[in-house]
Amino acid sequence: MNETNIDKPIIRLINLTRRYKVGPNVVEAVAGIDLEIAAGEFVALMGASGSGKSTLLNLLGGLDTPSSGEVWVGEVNLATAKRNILDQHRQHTVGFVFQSFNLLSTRTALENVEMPMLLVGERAAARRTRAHELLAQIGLAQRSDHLPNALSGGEQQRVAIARALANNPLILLADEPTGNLDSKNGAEVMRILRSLNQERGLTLIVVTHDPAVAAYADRVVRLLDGKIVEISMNAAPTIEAVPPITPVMSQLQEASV
Amino acid sequence: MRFPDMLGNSLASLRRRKVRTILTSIGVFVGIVTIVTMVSAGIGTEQQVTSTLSGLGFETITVNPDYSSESNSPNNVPTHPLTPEIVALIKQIPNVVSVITDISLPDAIPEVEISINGTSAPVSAFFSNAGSINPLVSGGTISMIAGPNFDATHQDGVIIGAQSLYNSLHLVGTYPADTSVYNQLLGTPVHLTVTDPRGEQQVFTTTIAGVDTNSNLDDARAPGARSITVRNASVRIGANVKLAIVQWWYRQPDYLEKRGYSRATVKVDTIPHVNAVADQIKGYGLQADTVPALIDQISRVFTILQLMLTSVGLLALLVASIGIANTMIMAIYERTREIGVLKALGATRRDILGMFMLEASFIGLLGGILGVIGGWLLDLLLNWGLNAYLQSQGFYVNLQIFQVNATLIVSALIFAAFIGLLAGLYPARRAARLDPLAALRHE
Ligand SMILES: Nc1ncnc2c1ncn2[C@@H]1O[C@H](COP(=O)(O)OP(=O)(O)OP(=O)(O)O)[C@@H](O)[C@H]1O
Ligand SMILES: [Mg+2]
Repeated sequence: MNETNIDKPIIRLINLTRRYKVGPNVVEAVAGIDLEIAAGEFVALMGASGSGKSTLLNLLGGLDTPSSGEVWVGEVNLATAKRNILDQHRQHTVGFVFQSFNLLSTRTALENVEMPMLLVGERAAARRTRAHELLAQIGLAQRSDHLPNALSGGEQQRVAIARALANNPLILLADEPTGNLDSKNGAEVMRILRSLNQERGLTLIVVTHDPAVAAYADRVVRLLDGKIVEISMNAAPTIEAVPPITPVMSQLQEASV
Repeated sequence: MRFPDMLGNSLASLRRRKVRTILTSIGVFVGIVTIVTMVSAGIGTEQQVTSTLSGLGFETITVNPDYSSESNSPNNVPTHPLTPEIVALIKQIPNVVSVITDISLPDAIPEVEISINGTSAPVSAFFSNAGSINPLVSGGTISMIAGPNFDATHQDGVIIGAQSLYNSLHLVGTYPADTSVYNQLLGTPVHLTVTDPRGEQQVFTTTIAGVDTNSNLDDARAPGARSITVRNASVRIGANVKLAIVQWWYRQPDYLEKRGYSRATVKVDTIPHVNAVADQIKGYGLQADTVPALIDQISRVFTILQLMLTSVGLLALLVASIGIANTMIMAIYERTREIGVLKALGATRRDILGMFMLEASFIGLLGGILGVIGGWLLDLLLNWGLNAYLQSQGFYVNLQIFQVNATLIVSALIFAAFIGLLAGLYPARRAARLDPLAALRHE
């Protein structure tokens, strides 16, 4: 995961379209998008409500299937991939972070982080060790036995990030990860994501309404009615030197090798 | 997802909903209790019949000559006599192990007197072999103390009851005496005196061939038992000796060829063959009575009873499986969002399917475990109650009509788990096919 070859696209969308039938009407949630995203890039998806940001993210994650067009992730076209390939895609290639955290409410923080490893058949001892490491690296070692409802929103979202990283994915897909957080916790989550991107070369795609969040990204893609209306490069993305996070993230990088 | 993780996951989900899990499994419990009890009745009955009862002669056929068509035949000669040729034919029927023939002394013989070493007593019993005594009628079991019992090849001499040697004949000073005392008596000359209606007497000389004991007589002579006459000696006379008596009685040296044996006891190798052999014997015009005919009737009643109660059990299981399906559908509805999250994290359809099918199977298995325990306890209770009732009716028996065995336990558990699995199939399939996005949106 050390190669941060910005030039090599890890994601290629070709005339990607997703239509929904709602009664007699057809909604084009994603209406013919062409986009390339390089490995190690940090892209923010912005746009008004209903512009198709979540739909695009779900298509990238293999949770939704396009009506037409192609979704290339690495060597795989998700548009035509068989179910077992999509399963592998979700298990190993991408990690999800949701606005509402979506932690499994009956399981502790540690068990939540273990879950993706459990699903790919990792042994109990190995996944426990790695889950502890991941929680320690986001500063939640003391919270590992807490159930989600005993954690603050910021803590829950950090656990969700640790969980998304459990199987060491290439791409992290975050749908408004700061949407349910106050600005302080939101900033902390963004710092973590930014460091993961910088130090691990993790490809980041973050949906947001918040310009401050978009300011962390290398590139901002703006959608309207399912189409790209603007792509802008951030000449100077927000990179805050945050003492506790950065060293932790380099450890995380080692742990994942 | 590895199987042990799937297992742990399902168990954890069930543990979170203990009350619901137990309530759902009660249906299975009821069904399994009923079925286990029914099947255990079958196991017990079969076991009792084959072990306890078959030793008493249930694989035997009692063959009698046929008198029916001409009751006015002179001197009561049978229309289809049981002659030595017919006996030879019976011996050749497949599955026949042995044929023991016997001769009855005519009812007209007023009394036979037995005299040994100068003491004498009237003879009360004319049976010549144990096999000819219907075990259901005679009650007591006869066992040999000295000498061999009469059988198909050995029909000479007399076998005297140990009680009679003491009570009636006073040949031994104690009862029961040492076995060596009885053995010493073997071969002692015996004189049987028969008197015919004209007052003519004939003495038949033979020997003591054996000493036996009858459990009924033992009981009768136990302290406090009501007194029975002890004057008569219990003597079983060998068929060869009785043949000599009837030849003299009827003045008919060709008695066997004309009138034939009085009865024959045919031993068949196994109970299931009894009816076929009996049918073949009836083909010779003889009467053939079997005990299995009675068993057939008893077992038919049992089968109907078992069928009825097994239907109740199966009905209970059907209702139980609907309950399990309902619980699973509810659980899946509650956990829709969780299923969506798991799918986003990489759970495959098979993972979800397996998780919920395992859960449903465990509910079934739990009901099965409780049901097997319950059925077993019910068996103990029923056996106890049945024997208590029989004893109150004067039958001193210890029947274990309800019996569980390992096969029953294991198959009941597998069956219960299978019921759960079946009930979980549809809900689990629905869960596995949930659209992850729709599931994630679910509140
Ligand atoms: N399952 C669906 N069935 C029908 N229409 C849908 C479905 N999912 C999304 N849509 C429609 O597609 C369009 C794009 O939705 P999407 O959720 O991608 O928007 P979004 O940009 O994420 O909006 P928001 O910022 O509010 O989250 C909307 O008009 C929405 O109503
Ligand atoms: Mg959205």
